[in-house]
Amino acid sequence: MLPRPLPTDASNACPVSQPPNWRALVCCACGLGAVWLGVLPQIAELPRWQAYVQRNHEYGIDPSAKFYTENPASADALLAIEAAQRLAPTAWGLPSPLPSESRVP
Amino acid sequence: MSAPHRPEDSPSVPVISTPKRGWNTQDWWAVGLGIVIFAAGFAAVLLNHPADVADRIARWQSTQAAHQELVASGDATKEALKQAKADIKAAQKAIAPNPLSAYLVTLREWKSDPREAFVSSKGDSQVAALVAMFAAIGLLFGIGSWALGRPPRQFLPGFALVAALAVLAQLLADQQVIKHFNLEYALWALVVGLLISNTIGTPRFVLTAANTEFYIKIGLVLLGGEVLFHRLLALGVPGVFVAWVVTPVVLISTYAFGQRVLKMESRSLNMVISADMSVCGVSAAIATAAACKAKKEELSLAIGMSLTFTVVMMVVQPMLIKALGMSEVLGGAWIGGTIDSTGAVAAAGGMLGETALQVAATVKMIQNILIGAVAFGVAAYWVTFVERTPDAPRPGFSEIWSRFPRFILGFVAASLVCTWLSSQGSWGDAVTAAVIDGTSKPIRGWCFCLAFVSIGLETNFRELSQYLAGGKPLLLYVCGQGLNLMLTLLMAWLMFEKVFPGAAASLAN
Repeated sequence: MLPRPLPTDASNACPVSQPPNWRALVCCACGLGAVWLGVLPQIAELPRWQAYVQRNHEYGIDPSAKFYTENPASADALLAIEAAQRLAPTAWGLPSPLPSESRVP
Repeated sequence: MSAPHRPEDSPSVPVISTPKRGWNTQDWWAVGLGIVIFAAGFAAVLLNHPADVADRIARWQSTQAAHQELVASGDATKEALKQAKADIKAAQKAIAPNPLSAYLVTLREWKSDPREAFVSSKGDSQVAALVAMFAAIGLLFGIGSWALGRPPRQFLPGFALVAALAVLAQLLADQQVIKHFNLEYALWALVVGLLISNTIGTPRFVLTAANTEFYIKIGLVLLGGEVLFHRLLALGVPGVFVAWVVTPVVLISTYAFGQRVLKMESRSLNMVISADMSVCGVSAAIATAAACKAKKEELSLAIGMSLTFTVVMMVVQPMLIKALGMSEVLGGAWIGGTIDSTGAVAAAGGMLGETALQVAATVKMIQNILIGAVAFGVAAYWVTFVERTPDAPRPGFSEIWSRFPRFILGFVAASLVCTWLSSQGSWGDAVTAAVIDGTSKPIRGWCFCLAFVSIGLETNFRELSQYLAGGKPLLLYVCGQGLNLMLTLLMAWLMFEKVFPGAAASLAN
């Protein structure tokens, strides 16, 4: 029995024009598996790559972050820059004391 | 057995459809579910309120003072400064622990064994938490979908499969090489979805749960909580000029160039490319696509181009900066203002040094906050100017209000509430951080991942390729990024080398 048609999305109502191609899916899955489990782990062992990754880890960098809240390095940077601004607020064009210092404790 | 869906003959549908009137709409459900998630986060934190919170706040303040003293001394070692920052963060977490953070999990980076992704930093398996989290999210979203006319007996099994594909996409993205090349989950979620839809076809029951619009809207309402406006002055006046003056100029100029010179066929594609190139990549593309009702294929194309150029720029730009002998502060500001992706900015800045990393990450953070203003502005522009017929009079306030996407209001409201709370002293700041880190941020990430899997499940390759015809999107991106590179460098040089040289000097010291 066919399910009821979906209520909102027009793209859901289109007919099947080709038979399912399981072979293509299995081939693609095998390809992905070979790259992710075979090739990429080999690249990850290269000394130059390891140095790059180690530096990212050391600085708390998450290169896949899409927003500053996902990147620990942003929080560290904020702390360091706020400390520098407290020492010389006028050099940054900011009032003295900084707004963050006059917040309610 | 129901026949699978093939996307070949599907008409392209907007990533966000025109809002309907009344309360039982997808927009209001997205806002409502966002409120439920935030409320759960705040309730978890407040009910877990430690008895000695005053002592914990005092401890946090003392760690901040210790860090300040180290910086002021001028001779602190890197290790000492790193430890001081770690102490500050641990002390802040202790003020407002969030018990939900143990259940709302994300996968971890792995190198050769994918099972590492499912193990927490303490060595515990996260599989049960992952299953429980998706069960809870599925039920919550299922209620909304049910109210909007999607039967739960179709939605829930479909959601289970979409969630499994989202986990697979995240697993692919968390492989160390992929992750550190900034090839984000958005790309792999699209690939996974496209593989299914273009080979065996998407089963129809899965399409009930492949609800791109809904996931994006909920994700954006949750993202609003992370847009904290008081971070705007994090880099002083120079940061405002680099991130909040140059960026809108580049965004508007690129959009105008696309319309008037390139004569782009699709205004929404033009806007999404302009925003993701000038603001902050994937997150800006999602927010703008939602605000201007771009098609799913347009969002996919814009993100694909952005990720491709980001990978190139994060390697080439630090090399160029070194070759030109720029200072770390200037180079960091240039990187922060031009590379699309937030994570790639930090990685590229780190290649130059710690000071460059700090400046780059902070410029990008200020740009991230611009998302709120951009999404609101684009939504207002669209309902006021783009959606009206050419010979019709300009719509009045009531017409604009009736057509304005409501989830954008939820996004802005979440931003304003969290900004206000976060600026109410140490306790408010700690509570806001706990709710964001432990509740809204992980769910928001999964919402966007579910959305991109859904896009892939409803798209075919031919639909994507037609948008590249004539090369206009590519030309738009290249020209816009060229302008961005020039203007950002000029503004960063003016601000950090000429107008506020003391700022650069204080960081370098």
